Amino acid sequence: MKLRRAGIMGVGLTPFDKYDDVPAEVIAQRAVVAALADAGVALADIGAVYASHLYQGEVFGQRVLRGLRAPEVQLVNVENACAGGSSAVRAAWLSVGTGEHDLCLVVGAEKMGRGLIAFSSADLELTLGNTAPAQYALAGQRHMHEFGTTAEDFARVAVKSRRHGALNPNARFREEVALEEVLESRPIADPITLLQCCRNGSGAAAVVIGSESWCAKSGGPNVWIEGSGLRSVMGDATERDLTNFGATRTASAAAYEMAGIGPEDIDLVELHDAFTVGELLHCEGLGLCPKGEGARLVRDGETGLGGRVPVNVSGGLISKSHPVGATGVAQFAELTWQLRGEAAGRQVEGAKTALAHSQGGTGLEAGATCVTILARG
Amino acid sequence: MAEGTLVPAWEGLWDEDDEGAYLVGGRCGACGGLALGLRPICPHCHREGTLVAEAVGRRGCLYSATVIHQAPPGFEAPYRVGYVDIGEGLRVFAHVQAGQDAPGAGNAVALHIAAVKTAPDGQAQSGPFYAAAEGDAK
Repeated sequence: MKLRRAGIMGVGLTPFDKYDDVPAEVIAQRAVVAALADAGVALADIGAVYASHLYQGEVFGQRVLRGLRAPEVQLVNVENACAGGSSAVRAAWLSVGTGEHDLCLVVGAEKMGRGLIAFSSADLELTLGNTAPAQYALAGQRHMHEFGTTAEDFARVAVKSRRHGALNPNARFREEVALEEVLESRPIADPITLLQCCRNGSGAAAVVIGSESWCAKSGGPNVWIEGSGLRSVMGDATERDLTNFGATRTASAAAYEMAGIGPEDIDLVELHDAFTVGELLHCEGLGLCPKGEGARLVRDGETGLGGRVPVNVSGGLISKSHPVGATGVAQFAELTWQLRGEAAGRQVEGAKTALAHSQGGTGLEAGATCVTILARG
Repeated sequence: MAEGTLVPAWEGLWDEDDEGAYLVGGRCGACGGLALGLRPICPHCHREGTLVAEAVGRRGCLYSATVIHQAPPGFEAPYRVGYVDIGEGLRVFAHVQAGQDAPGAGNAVALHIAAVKTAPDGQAQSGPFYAAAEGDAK
């Protein structure tokens, strides 16, 4: 079906950190208040709310909005593991695009503890001792075997992302790291070392999405959502090619087709770098380079600020940490600032088209991958 | 803990007979498709109650492996895990031999049942463990 145009009118971020003494609801409310102010709209104008979280319990979104004296409103809590935030943005965009509502609010928030993420569902691999970093490590090992990629190549991703993070006042880890430091940090699952893993975090992000007429009222440069793809690749259907990231390939193909553009048209990318291995493989899956050549992008600086297609200029999950439900929404905050030309210190000059990618799940791909394309109007 | 007191970390997915360790495959009597484990519903043809147990996975080819250094509760780091392409055409997750003679990607491996985990009550638990094997990987 033909969708109405919908754009991002406002964004808000509660920068990711620990927030030991702040309730999750308050972490989320700060982002909501900031996004409403940025959009210049009132809570009473909102037709539907999509709230992304994984660990905050029943009707979290309602608890967040209750504290802001929200009127009666349509509200859905969204869980799609680490891709929950981007899935929530997608649902809000569709609500406006189909004409159900003219103005929607997305809030993604999480308050987390430390250590390996504890999955609560029964899963054979996790029961046998697999871990999230090990899933990516197994993909990395196979990539090294097939394509000659090295441990240094994966470590270079962390060096690049932390260099970006040092430029972003919203990043949590703002010190640059050297290649040797990354390689010599504590091993987690070979070839992944500690500095190649995102940390758990707490934080929130919010986005206001409006119809064309609402966007026209806002006055500022408009940021349009041009296309989106959401895919899950289930492990049972085929033997998984661990180097392929099929869900990233199929979700991005759908998004590119809807937007009428290709990977060569993308000016910058925020993608799901929970572990460095993921960034290289997702770059391949998004079509930024041919399969097997991801290492070249980071070796040659193509994905660094000033390069051909900067990836994770926010510093990525590696520099920001990863409050699961907030991560995907926060990517839209960063890309909106970039497309408006407001990303001081880390601005990709002249950025017109951007891509957001996030992925989540218990098996490497038995979860969800969401790819969304944004353009400056 | 003595070998005899091992209980499976996951019920019904591996066992041993006179030929040694095997994984429990579920072969569909209707469509002939194979799944890991005796599931209620065949993932290939979606019929219910058609899977029959079949011993699979005695040998395979290592697809990828990693050494885990940060272990979840119940596991003692470091240990090696990976994916094995078993002869019957499935790719399965298992523990994998580490150390000097450890198999690499593309090498032939054979299945053993080994203690891999300790339950919160101290009970030792078994899981599938692939070690280097002689001969052709396929």
